[in-house]
Amino acid sequence: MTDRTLSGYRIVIVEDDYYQAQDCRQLLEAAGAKVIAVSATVPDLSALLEEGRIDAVLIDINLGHGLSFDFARELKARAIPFVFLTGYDAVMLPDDLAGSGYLTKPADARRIMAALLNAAGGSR
Amino acid sequence: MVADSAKAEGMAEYSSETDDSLFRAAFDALPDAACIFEPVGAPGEAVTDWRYLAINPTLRAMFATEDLAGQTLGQHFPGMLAHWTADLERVILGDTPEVLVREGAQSPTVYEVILTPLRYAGRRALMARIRDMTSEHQAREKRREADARYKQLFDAIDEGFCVIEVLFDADNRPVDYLFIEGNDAFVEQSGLTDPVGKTMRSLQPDIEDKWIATYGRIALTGEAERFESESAALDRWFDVFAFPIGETAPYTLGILFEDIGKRKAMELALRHSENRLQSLIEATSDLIFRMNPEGTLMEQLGGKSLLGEVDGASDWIEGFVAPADRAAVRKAVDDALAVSEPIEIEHRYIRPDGEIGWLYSRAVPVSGEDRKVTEWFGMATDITSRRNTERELAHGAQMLRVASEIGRVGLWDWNVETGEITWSDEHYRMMGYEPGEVVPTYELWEERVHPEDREATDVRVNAAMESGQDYINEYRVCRPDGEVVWLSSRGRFLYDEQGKPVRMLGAMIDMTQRRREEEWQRLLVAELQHRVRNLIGMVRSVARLSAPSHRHVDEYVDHLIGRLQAMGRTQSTLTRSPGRNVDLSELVREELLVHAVQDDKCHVEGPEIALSPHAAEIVTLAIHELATNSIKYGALGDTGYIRIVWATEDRGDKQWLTLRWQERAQLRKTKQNRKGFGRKLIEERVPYELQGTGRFNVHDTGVLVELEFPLVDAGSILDPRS
Repeated sequence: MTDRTLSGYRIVIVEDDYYQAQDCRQLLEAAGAKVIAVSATVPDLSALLEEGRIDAVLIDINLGHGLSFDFARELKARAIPFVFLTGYDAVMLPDDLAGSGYLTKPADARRIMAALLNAAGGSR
Repeated sequence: MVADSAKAEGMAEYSSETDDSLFRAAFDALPDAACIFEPVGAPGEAVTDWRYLAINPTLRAMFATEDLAGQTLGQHFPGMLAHWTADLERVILGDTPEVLVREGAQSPTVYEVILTPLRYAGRRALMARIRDMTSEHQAREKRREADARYKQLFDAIDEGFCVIEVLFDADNRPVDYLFIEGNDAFVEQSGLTDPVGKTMRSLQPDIEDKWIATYGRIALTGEAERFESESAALDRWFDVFAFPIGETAPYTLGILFEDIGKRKAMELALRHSENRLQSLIEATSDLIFRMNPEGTLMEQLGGKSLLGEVDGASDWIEGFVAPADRAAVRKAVDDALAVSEPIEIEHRYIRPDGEIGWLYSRAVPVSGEDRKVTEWFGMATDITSRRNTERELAHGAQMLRVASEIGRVGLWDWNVETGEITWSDEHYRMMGYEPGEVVPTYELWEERVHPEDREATDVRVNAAMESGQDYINEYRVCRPDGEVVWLSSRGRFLYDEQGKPVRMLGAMIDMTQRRREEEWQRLLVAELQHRVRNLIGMVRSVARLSAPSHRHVDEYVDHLIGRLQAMGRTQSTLTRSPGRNVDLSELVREELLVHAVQDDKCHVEGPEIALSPHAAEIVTLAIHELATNSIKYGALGDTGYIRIVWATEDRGDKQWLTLRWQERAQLRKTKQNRKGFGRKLIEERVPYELQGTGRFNVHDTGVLVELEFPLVDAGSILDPRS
């Protein structure tokens, strides 16, 4: 956890649970990442991109008031790497997102970082 | 008489001068009246009178006169002289005998007069022989009249009549016959034209030998015969009376005959009809009966003895009809009687063995010439087994119908050969039709099968048809109202002897609810998994976030357990009524109760509010944190007082909740500035998760917390609305 493997990575967290979002932010920041946004709802991607690039997005599937699949599709369309972090099984993924990065909760820091690195690897 | 007169003439020629007395004797002995005249005067020139030379006794008697010999005709019978003189003179001049017939003066007397010239004593004389032939003449007249009448009758009769002469060969065998006479009707009755003078065989070469043989026999025996016989050659049936005519064999025959072809055909038809009727009556398994016009008495004519003994003397309805049906049968009979229309009824009857059976009876009225019903003719059939079968069928059908309705089973029966399909009511409903709304066809059914399932369904139907194995399929049906239902169907093909599929029967049930429940269950498991994993994640995060504020492990554990218990309480509230909203007032009171807050230390007030599970979870945890803090540092730990009040207000299109926690404490134990778990919850989590605001202020009088957030409905994916 002390190694700063994600150093310099600009990461967005989309997670409707405040505690998990904070927990996750602490983990990633500890790993050297710059968490540029933490949101309980689907964020305005264009506004975020104006502030700078996004290396990876960590997404909870169930955002309380809806599913995040459309957001994931938008990311996919913009070639922004993302990883699902969810309590649901992978079978819940729709067909067009079936191959996406995926973590089941609870996930420890190492798995989250490995998945993000794997997803974002190509972009940096 | 001819011979006598010739003899007399001979005697007159050769013996007149030799033996006068002999002549005289013969003359007088003549049975006919006779006299001899000689002319007075010269014949051919001037004959003035005729003198009797002799007159026989017969003539004298005839004219009632004495012997007039030597006297003249003119002296005694001047009328006769005028009448006869020309005749007498002609004969004497012609010297040739003549026979004359004359009516006498006293008509209707008729005489035959034979005048014979002769010589008497060397003189030319004339013998007149007179015969009274009145009766003979009358007889002849009568015969002539009779003949005319006969001819008239002969032609007037409708029957054919002919007279024939049978022709025999050398061996006296009859070979043919000749028509001698034939009446007008002959042609019409025989079909032979202009027969007189012709033989039968010349008219019709194919005439059967039997006719000739029969007539030959009659001609020889003289015995009349009457018979009916058919001639195929003439294509006719004849009724014949043949009788001999004449004195000796072979006789001429008179034949009186009639073409009875039509009559014969009718007789034959009638006989056939009667035979058939009789056969029918004997062969039928029904009972044939007749009934009196009043419909009360019945007589069995034939057929099966369904009723046992039918005496025809007592009321049959009383006798045979089952008591329960008597009134109905009586009414049916009376109604039919009233209008003279056929009766047709089914009713129960008492069998000879005492059992109750079912009878089908039908009777038609038979009318006399005055159109009044004279009797009823009818038949009755035992239909007990048919009625039983019908009842069983009806029971079976009813059972099937009720069972399929109760079980919500849709049934179909597909006639593969004709394409006809029968659907049960439930089948119609399953396909989104009102029962009977359309005429079912394979295409109509397939039309409503979900497009994605159509091909697979077709494949399964064809596979079942070819293999003979049961058709098993689950497919979706799209109803016109947009609803999609799942049907599970099973069917079986039936085949003829050649193995050709002729029929398919099947049943199906609506699987939609089960499918939905399965889907629900799948979602439930996924949601449960999600929640558990989420909860563990949250616990981990809460544990981690709780850590920095506590130096002592015991204190940390107490806090952690308290928070976990509060989370647990929320979870149990949510599990009790999953997907439902939570009553805010209840939530607050329960949380205060858990922390043993006395009623006199708090005031709770606010309208009825339903919180979403998510908001409930946060508010619960917030109350928990505030109550824990208050007990430890604030109003609840002392003689303070808490007011918890809430209200709603409309902001834009949303309704917002504002909740205020206000403490009034006598003392302040510690001044809290560090941002602890509870404060973060209020100031960060509420905006983050509920899109609201949270303010945490510590005043001298105590803590004041204000929460504001929009009220939204539950956001679980378990909610069927989402």
